[in-house]
Amino acid sequence: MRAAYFVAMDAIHHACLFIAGLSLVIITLIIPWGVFTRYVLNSASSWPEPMAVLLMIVLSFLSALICYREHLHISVMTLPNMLEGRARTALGLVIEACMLFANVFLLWFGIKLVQITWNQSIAEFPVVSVGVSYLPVPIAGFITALFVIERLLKGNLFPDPFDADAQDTISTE
Amino acid sequence: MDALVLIGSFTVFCLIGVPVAYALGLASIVGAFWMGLPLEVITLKTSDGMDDFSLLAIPFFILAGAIMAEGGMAGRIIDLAKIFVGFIRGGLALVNILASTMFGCLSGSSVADTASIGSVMIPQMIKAGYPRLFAVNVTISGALQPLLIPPSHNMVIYSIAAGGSVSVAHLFIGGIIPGLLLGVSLMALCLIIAYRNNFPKGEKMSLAQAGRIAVEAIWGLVTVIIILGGILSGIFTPTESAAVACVWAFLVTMFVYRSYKWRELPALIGRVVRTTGIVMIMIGFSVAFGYMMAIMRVPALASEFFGAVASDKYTFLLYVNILLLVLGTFMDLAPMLLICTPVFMPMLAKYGIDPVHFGIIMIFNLGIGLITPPVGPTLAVGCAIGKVTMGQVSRSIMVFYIPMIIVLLLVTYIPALTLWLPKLLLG
Repeated sequence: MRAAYFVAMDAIHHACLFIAGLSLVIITLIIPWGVFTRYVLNSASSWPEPMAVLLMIVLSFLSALICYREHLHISVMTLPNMLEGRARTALGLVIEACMLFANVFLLWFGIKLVQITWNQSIAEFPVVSVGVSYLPVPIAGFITALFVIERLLKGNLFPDPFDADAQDTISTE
Repeated sequence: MDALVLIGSFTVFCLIGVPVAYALGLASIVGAFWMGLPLEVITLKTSDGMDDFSLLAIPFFILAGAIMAEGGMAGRIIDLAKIFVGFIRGGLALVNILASTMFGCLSGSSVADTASIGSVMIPQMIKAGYPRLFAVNVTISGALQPLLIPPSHNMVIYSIAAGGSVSVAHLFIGGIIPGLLLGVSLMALCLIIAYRNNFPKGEKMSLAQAGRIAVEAIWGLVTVIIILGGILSGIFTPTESAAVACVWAFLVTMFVYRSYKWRELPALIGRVVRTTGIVMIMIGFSVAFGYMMAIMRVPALASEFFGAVASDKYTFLLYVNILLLVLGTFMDLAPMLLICTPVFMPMLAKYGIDPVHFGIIMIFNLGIGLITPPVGPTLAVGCAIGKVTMGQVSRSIMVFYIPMIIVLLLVTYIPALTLWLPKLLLG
C-alpha cells in the first residue's frame, strides 16, 4: 500500500513537472508571437498576454509543489541544523504540520474562491470562467498535502546535506 | 500588538525552519485570524499576486540566463575577458572579475555566475599557481556584479515588491554604473594583491586569435542588446524583451554554438521551472503578507520608528544599510526584497530618496549577504567548487569586503551614480 502510494506520488510529480515545463515553453513562444503580430503583421493579437498570465499561475503553483517535494524552497536551517536525534525529528514534524495546515487552507479556501468566481468570465476570453484562473490554488494545495503525507510516511523530513550539483543551477540568487 | 502578532509569527515560522514562502503565508493567516478578517482574503491575495503580466519577466530572464550559461557562453566570455586583461600580472583574477561583469549581461544570478565562471576559473587559477582561497574569494566577490548589471531578475522582484510603481527599465539602467564600479574596485584590489604576492602574468593573444574569440562571443552578447535596446527604444516592454531574449539565446545556443544537445533541454527547462517555483510562490504569499502589513499599519509604525531615530536621509540610509547587512546574512536576497521593500517604500518620499536609487542600494547590500555566513548560497557554491570550507573563506575574504563596502557607501551617498544614466537615457 505504501509502495503504491509512493509510486502514485512519483507519477503526480512527473505530471506536474511536465505541465509546468510545457506552460513555460508555451509562454516563451506566445509573447514573442504577440510582438511579431504587433510589428510585422500590424495586427496585434490580444490573446497572448492574458493566456500567458493564466499559464503563469499554473506554472507558479505547480512548480512550487515540485520544489516542496524536492526540498528546494528557501528555509532558515540554522535551528534544525543545531538539533540532533529526537529533537530534530520533532521539529521536522512541527514543520510538516505547518505545511499541511497551509496547504489544507489553500485547498479549502481555494475551492471557495473557485465556487464564488465560477460564473464570472475573463474579459479577454469570454468562454473561460474566472474560476478557472483560481483552480491551480486548490489543486496545488491538495497535491502538496499529499506530498506532505508522503514525506511523513517516508520520514525524510529534512533535505540531504549540501548538494553542490543541485545548488549550482537551482537558486533564486 | 497587531503588528507584533504578524511579524512575531513570521519570525517563529522562519526560525523553526518552515520554508520562507509558506512562513509568509502562515503568518498572514495568523494575522487575518487575529484581526477577525475573512480568511478567503489570504487565498485571494496570494493568487492575485501572481496575476501580473510584468511577473513573466522573472522566468524569462532566468530561462535566458540558464540557456546562455549552460550553452557554452561562460567559456566564450572567459576567453573574451582574457583578451582584455589576461596578460596583466594577476591576469586570471582580473579575467575572473571581468567575465562575471560580462556574465551579468546574460544572467542576473550570482549563484549561476559562481557555478559557471567558478567551475572554469577556480581550477585554472589554482593550476596557474594562485592560492586556492584567493581563487574562491575572487570568484564569489565578482559574482555580486550580475545582481546589479542588467538584466537582473531581482530588480523585477524589487519593482513588484514596490507595488509596480518603480520602472524596471530605470532599475536596469540604474544598476550599470554601480555594477561596473564594483567590478573596477575588485579588479584594483586583485591587482594590489597580485603585485604584492608576485602572482603570474598571462600571455598576450595574437590579433587573429582575439578576433576569432570576439566574433564567437558577440553572438551571445547580442542578448543584452536585445534586452536593453528593446526597452530603451520602447519597442518592447521588459517582459517582452525577456521573452525575445529567450528565443534568441535558444537559437544561438542550438544553431550557432551547437554546444547543447536537444535531449538536454527538458532537464534545463526543469531547472528553470524549479527556480521559478521558489520565487513565484514567495511573491504570491508576500502579496498577502504585504496586505496584512498595510492593514496592521506596519509601514507606518516603521516610519514612526525611523522618524524618531533618523532626522535626515543620510542617517536613515546608514541605519537601513546596517540593518540590511545584518538581516542579509540570515536570509536570501529575494525574500528580503519582498518583505522589506513594502516597509521602507512609504518612507522614501519623506526622506527625499528616489525609489530607483533605494532599490539599487537594497540589491547591492543584500547581495553582500549572499557571500556571508551563515546563509550565503553564493558562498556555499563557491566553497563546493573550490573544495574549501565556509570557515576558511569567511576568514580570508575579509579584505574583499573593503571595496564592496566602499562602493556600497558611494552608491548610497552619491545618488547620481545610480540616477544619472537612467535620466540621460530614459528621461
